[in-house]
Amino acid sequence: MIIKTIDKYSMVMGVSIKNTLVYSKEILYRTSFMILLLFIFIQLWTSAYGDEASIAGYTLSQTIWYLVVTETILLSKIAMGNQISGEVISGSLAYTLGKPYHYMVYNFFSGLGDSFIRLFINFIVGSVLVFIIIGPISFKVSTIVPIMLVVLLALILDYLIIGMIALMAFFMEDVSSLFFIYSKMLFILGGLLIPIDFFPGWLQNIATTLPFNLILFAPASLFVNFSISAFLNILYQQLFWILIFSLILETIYRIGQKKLTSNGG
Amino acid sequence: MQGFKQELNFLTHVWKLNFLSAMEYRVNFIIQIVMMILNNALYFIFWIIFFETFTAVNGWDLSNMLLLFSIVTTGAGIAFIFFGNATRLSSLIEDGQMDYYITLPKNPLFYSISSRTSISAVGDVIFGVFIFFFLIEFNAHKLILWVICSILVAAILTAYVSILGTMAFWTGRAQVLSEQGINAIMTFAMYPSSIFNGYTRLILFTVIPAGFISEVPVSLLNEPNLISLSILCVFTVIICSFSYWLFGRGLKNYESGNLLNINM
Repeated sequence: MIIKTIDKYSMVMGVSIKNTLVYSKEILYRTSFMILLLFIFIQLWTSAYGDEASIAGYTLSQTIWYLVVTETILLSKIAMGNQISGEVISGSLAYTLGKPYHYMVYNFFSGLGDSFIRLFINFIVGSVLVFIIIGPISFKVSTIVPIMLVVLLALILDYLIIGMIALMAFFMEDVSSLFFIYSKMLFILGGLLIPIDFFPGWLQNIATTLPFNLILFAPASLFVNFSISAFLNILYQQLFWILIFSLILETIYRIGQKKLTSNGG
Repeated sequence: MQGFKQELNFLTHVWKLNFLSAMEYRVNFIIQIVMMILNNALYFIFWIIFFETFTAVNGWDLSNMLLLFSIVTTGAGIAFIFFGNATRLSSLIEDGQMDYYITLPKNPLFYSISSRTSISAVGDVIFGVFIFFFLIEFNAHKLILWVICSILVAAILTAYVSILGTMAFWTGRAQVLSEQGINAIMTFAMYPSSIFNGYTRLILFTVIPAGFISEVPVSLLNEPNLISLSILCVFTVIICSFSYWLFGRGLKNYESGNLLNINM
């Protein structure tokens, strides 16, 4: 039973990977903005650091490699939010209810395949640029698996939040404003452009209490400064929020299903 | 002169219609404006956090960033309120939709780029005006200079975006080039220009003229002088004239489409 379920969703992910590879030029086009942003930030941080060896516990190299990871995750997130909310609003969600899969799990695996390809390409492109201009970052091969696990959990956490917002379409006519607010939360409180350690104390407290930092800041800070204790701390927090958000998502989904009305035609 | 007056009169009617059509969906109109204001404000929070740690970068501090944001957002807002269709020029050319604009006895460049208003651009203007009037110390001279700079920035941006779109007359598909070019100029313009040097600076004052919409107006407002103002005016005239000339040349290469459409 479990093997059949795994097989089913791996097939969904496989199809998604194949679809994404067909549009590989589009991914490369999207990386151009990342290259532009990284280039500007290399200039900005180089000027800002001047002769300082370290600020807020980060060297110049760490700050820039941090940005490579946050940008990579941001540009590779599971992008199913608009599709889910669109299907809820149009009512086409009704057609999927009779199919032998959980709608939200299906969409997760469908988006995950695409996300993996984007993660790989974005990280390679960003790393090559930063490697050429700034140089390498000290990195142990043994940390690859824990960091990849944290990145995967970050993608799951983000998907759960996006999923909750998308399913709010059962109750609201337009959820684009909620998506917008969430993207801005990630921008500031997620530590997209600047590590949370640079924030003033009061803002640092807010940012570390909320779950947004676990999506961008946590994986990126772990990548540039790995420690087992930090890894375990992030892992526990991510699992805690994933559990909470999974329960909320399932509750919204069940309530929403009861509200679903479909007209023939 | 009579022709110019007629053209301006016609454009005023187009802008009025654009505004009325945008106001038809009033809630959407307000939401888009509020979103843009929020977007700019949250982006500015990054700079507040940044300058809390670094105080200044190569002579640029938070007061310079306030000036930069007030000029660039107001200028970009004015550009895309009045010429919001400039960002779609390449699509119009690619899809053969210029037919509609060239069959009327009006200037096809002005008519095509002014036939849409970007609603979110209104939010940009509100944000820029708010920053200037409430967060920056100013006197009458500075206010006049700020208005002049904002208008010049709007003209430069409109001309630059039109040039990118006009490329579609020769390349066929220029939508990607257009998007990349707009992204590049807006991104470079929103960072302190003092961090760039060497070839990057050369690019910012030629191919991607972000320096003319960020560094030059900011330095002009900080230290008013005739030389910087003249440079900005001359560059605006050059890029606008080039954009107009290039569109005229490109129009000769235009191949009409057989697509039937109604311009609502």
